[in-house]
Formats: sequence, C-alpha cells, structure tokens
Amino acid sequence: MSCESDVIYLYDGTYEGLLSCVFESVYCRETPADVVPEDEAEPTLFCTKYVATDFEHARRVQDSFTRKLSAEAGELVRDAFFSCAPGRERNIVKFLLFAYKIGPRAARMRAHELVAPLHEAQRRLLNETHLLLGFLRFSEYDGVLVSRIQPKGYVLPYLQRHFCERFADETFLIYDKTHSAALVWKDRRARIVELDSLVTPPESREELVYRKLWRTFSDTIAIALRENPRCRMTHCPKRYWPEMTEMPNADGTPKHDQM
Amino acid sequence: MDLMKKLEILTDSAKYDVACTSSGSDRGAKPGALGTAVAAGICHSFSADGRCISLLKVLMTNFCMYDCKYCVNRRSNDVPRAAFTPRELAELTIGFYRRNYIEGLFLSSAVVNSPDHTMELMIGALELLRGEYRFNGYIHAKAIPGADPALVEKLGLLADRLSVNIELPSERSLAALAPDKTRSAILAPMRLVQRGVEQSRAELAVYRSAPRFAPAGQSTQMIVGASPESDRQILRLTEGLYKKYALKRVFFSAYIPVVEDRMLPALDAKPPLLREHRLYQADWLLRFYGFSADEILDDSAENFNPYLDPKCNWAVHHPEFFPVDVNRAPYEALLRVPGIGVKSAKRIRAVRREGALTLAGLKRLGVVLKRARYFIVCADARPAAVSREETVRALLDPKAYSVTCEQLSMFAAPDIQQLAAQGLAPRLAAREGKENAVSCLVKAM
Repeated sequence: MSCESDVIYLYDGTYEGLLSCVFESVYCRETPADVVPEDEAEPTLFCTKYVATDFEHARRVQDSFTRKLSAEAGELVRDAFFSCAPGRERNIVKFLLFAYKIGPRAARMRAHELVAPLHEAQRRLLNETHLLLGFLRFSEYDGVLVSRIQPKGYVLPYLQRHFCERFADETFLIYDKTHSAALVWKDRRARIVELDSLVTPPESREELVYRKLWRTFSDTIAIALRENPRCRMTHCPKRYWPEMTEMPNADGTPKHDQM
Repeated sequence: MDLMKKLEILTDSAKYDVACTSSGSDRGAKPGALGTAVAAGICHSFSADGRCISLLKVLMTNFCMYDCKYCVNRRSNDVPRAAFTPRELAELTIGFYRRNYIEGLFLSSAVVNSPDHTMELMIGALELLRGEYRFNGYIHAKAIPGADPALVEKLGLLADRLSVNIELPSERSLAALAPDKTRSAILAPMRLVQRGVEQSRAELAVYRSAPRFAPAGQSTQMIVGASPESDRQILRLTEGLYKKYALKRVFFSAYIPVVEDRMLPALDAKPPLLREHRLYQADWLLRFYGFSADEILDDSAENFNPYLDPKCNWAVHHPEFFPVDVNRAPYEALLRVPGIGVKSAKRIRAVRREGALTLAGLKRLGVVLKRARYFIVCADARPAAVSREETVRALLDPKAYSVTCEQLSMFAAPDIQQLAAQGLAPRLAAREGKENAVSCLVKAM
C-alpha cells in the first residue's frame, strides 16, 4: 500500500463518493495517483478507475474515523472536503492512508507534509465562513430576506447556525451560486436545497432607501486623509464586493439602484 | 431635515472615534427578540481608509456645549448640526441589522445642555431599541464624563460595552486643549464602570438571571500627536489603564488636523500613522505577549524605532535571550521570537509533542522564517552565523520606507518624510533613511 500506483480514481463529486474511494484504496491496497470528480477528468496517460458511490462503504469509512482515529480527524477530513480547494481529494486519501498507520494522533501532526494541507484547507473554509458572517447582505422582499453569495467553499452548512439563531423569527434564503444550493429558514426550520437559479421581484422603495442610507454611511465613515485601498482589499478581498451593497463596482463607480 | 442628511452629518461627526469592535459579548438568541452577539466580534465591511465597519457608529447629536480645540464638533466650529430622534435611530439600527449590514450600534454624543441631559437622551434611545424593538444585538455606548452615576448605571444595563474617552495622554495636555474637561471627571465614570462590571460578575456567579452590566467591559481612546507626550509616556499610561481599570482595549488615534490653532500641529501636518501603528503593536505585546511597558521602551529610548516593530526592536537589543530552542522552550519564550505569533506559538507547543520540529515543519505551522531563523534552534538548524547587519536588514519593517509609483507610503518614517520635504526624490530619501537606520542599529547591537 506504500507505493503510489499509476491509477486515477474518478468519483461522482459527493462526500460519500470520496469516502467510497478511500474504501476502494484500502481494500485494493493501492494509493491512487489522483482522485478526480468524473466531470472534471481530463484525458491522461494514467489508467482511470471509476469508483461508484457505495453508501455502505462510505458509512464504514465514516465509522472508522471515530473508531480508529479521532473526532478531530473526521472533522478535518470533512472540512477539507467542503473547502473545495484544488487537489483536496488526493490530499484527503493520502492523509487517511497515513492516519490509519499512525492512529488517533495523526490529525494533530500539522507540521507533517501529509497533514498540513488538510489544516490549510480547513483554515480557508472556516475563514471564508467567518468573513461571510459579516460580508453577506440581505435584501428584503415582502418580509422575506434574500441573499446571494459566491463562496469558494461549500459554506452553507457552516453558516446555518449563526443566521438561524440571529434571525430566528425571520424567513430567509441564502443562495449559493457557486454550488447551486440554498439555505432556507422558514417557520423555524432550516433546509439546504438544490437551486439552479434565483429570480427575485423588483425591489421595494423601502429596500432601495435602506441601501442608499447604508452607502451614505459607509462612504461618510471613511477618513479621507487616511485613505488606504490596499488595506481595505487585504481585509475585504475584492471577490466579495459584487454582492456587497456598499462596495464600488469593478470599474470603481458606485453601485446605483433605480428609485 | 431628511434622514439621509441627518445620517450623513451624524456619521461625519462620529468618524474620528476609533473603536468599532463588536467583541466581548457572547449571547445566543432570545425568544421574540432580534439578534445575537458573537464573542470574537464580526467585521461587516471595510471603509475606504481600511478600517473595519462593525457597528453603526453615529452621534445622538452633534450640538455641543464644549469647545475642545482638537474636535470637529466644538461649539465654535461652523459645521451643520443635527440630532436623531430615538425612533429614527431605532428604525435605522433595525433596518441595517436585518440586512446584515451591521453587528449593532455604537452610540456616542456631543454634550448638549448638560452631561445628564445628554445621557438621558442616549438612554431613551437605547431603551426604545432594547424594549419596543426587542433588539438583542451588540450595543457600544459612550458614557459622558460628569453625568450622574445613576445614569451610568442605567446605560451599563442597556449596553454591551461602555467607553469613556481619556482624550489626551496627560492632564496638562487636557487642560491646554480641552479646557472644559478634567482628568478626574474622565476617570470617575471609568471607575464606576469598572465597579459595575465587577459587581455584576459577582452577582452572576451567585444567580444566573442577575442583570448584566456592560458584559463586554469598557474601552477608551486617546489622541496621539496633538500634544507633546513621548511614546514611552503613552505606553506606560496604557499599561496603567489596563491594570488599574481593567480595560478591554485602549485605542489610539493619530491626530488629524481639523482646526487652525497655535497650540496644535499645523493644518497641513500629516497624521502620525506609523507612530499609531507602533503603539498598536506595542499594545498587542502588552495584552498577548507578556511584555511590560518598561521592557518595550526602556531608559534608553523615549520613542519607538520607526524602522522596527517593537518586538523585533526588543530582540535586536537582547541577544543574550537567544537562540530559543523551539522544541524545548516554554510558551512565553516562544512568544518573544520575531516571526512567531500567538497562533504559531500555540501550534508549536501542541505539535512538538508528536515529534521534533524541523525548519520545514515550522514553516507549515505558519512561522515566518525570514525573521525567525536568526533566533531559533530546531531539529535541523541553528541560527546562521551571519553579520549583525544581515540580521537587522531581515527585520526591518518595509512599511517605514516603501515607495510605490514614486510616492512615499503614508506610513513613511519621519526622517524620510523630512528628507523628501527638503526636495530629495522619494526613492532616494527612502534609501538614505533606511541605510542610516541600519547603521545606527548595527552600532547599537
């Protein structure tokens, strides 16, 4: 199981699919050169093997985390997967093959070359989640709050608790365009559903007034003599700006809504 | 006056207040109420000057009876004036909060009629927000010096954090620049808040439903560069405030000239941003790194070295402390190494139990080897035998001398700014300042 074989695993892109690949790798005693979602696979000289998602296999791998490793290891693998960082599947499989040898302490060895990439991916996901707790914007349509985001990682499950607590008595929807999914909170029940596109009615006058008030505030609060665009971008990367009401457009002009 | 105009005026008057943090309170949802508070605080946006926007930071009113020389809202200044009604303020806060623009409200005020009257206005607005509007998010309120202690008590029960601004670093500067304010009038409410917080904590330990008084504690701020105090005086004052008044934060604001006065820096003077930056770095060393004010600036220096951050400066002047063995040294010693921060020190402490750390491993833990490698021993490396000059160069803070598009950065060191003002090209001025700094530091080592 130690040496890398020249096979590439293809899977369906789901978490259970990846866990099935882990099962396959352990069962066949081979370390795949790479693990790639089927629809991202490119022609290659390696042999490819399609690993079908098997929920029973996935469950056994999942159980092995708590049984043979640690709760921390399970979390690390799941967070790394949802970070959607490039190469995460290969990193996860290699980490797990290593961890099954080392035991429960593997997840804590973040200075190790096979462990560090997972911690890095986890850090990115949790960091993006934290930033979105602040940068996400709602618009109100007839009492319903609606938000659009385009995160790199699959953050919806991680945002759920915060927003459902904060806006417990509201009805809201957070649409993740990148992953075509939405978090829906209605009648004190949360669901994450698949959603390919989101169409919203025209904004009410009140909604437009609030947006304008907010832009006035955030423009006025800045001290001109201290203007520091680079510092602003470091703390609030530009990829979040298109969905942020108060941030200028890509060409520097202020966003304007019709009133 | 329409709400848009009011908001603009009362934001413009509040923008020099530094604090915008929403940290220190951890409060889950309450049935029927809107909002929560998160201990770490959340930044909702960043303004064009790169500062975090977390709270709706406005004044209740900017009509002021005082005439403090450094302040835009002083009585004698000709600026548009306005005041929010409690309902306007509550509607605005809720409207912004529901759209996730903000974490809550930071309410301050100019002093109108009397300190008591001002505080009553603020309390009225917060009572409406907490009561009728059932707002459960974060509130930071400014206590007005000179107000009745009973009013401070009331305000503390509505707010998460209170603050009283110490304004200037010494009694003397206060007398010169803010004739209507005295040090004792400022410290009195600070003491009240401290006692209130302590008492509330003690009561909470006994019964869970005790009313919470300013659960996120108190903070203060002072203006730097409007008066002649040295960095050492300011840092010692800061340390004293943390120790004696149990403050959560002390904020510094580089003085921005807003008025022509013979007692103040000229209107075209640049705000001392690098100095403010160094003060914050030193403040971090006080709060998280176990340094004391006298270690950061000892008898040999009244002011920070513009070219080195305070921690690197300490390391350069204390060669006897190094090298530190990252595989054995206690946490406190790790924190003293340039390039190792709180996060990486904690990681080192946790990870070295699993095996000896190497340079590559340290890098994966987030240690900045560019600075750290001169000061550490690890499994596969000792400090390189290099000249003092090379060490100093690796530690210099580029903020102090960087030049972009033939322009000095706004953080440029004072001597570089001076050279440039004398007509030297920015790039040459920066190089000369930097080389002077290197040779001075090498001599001092």
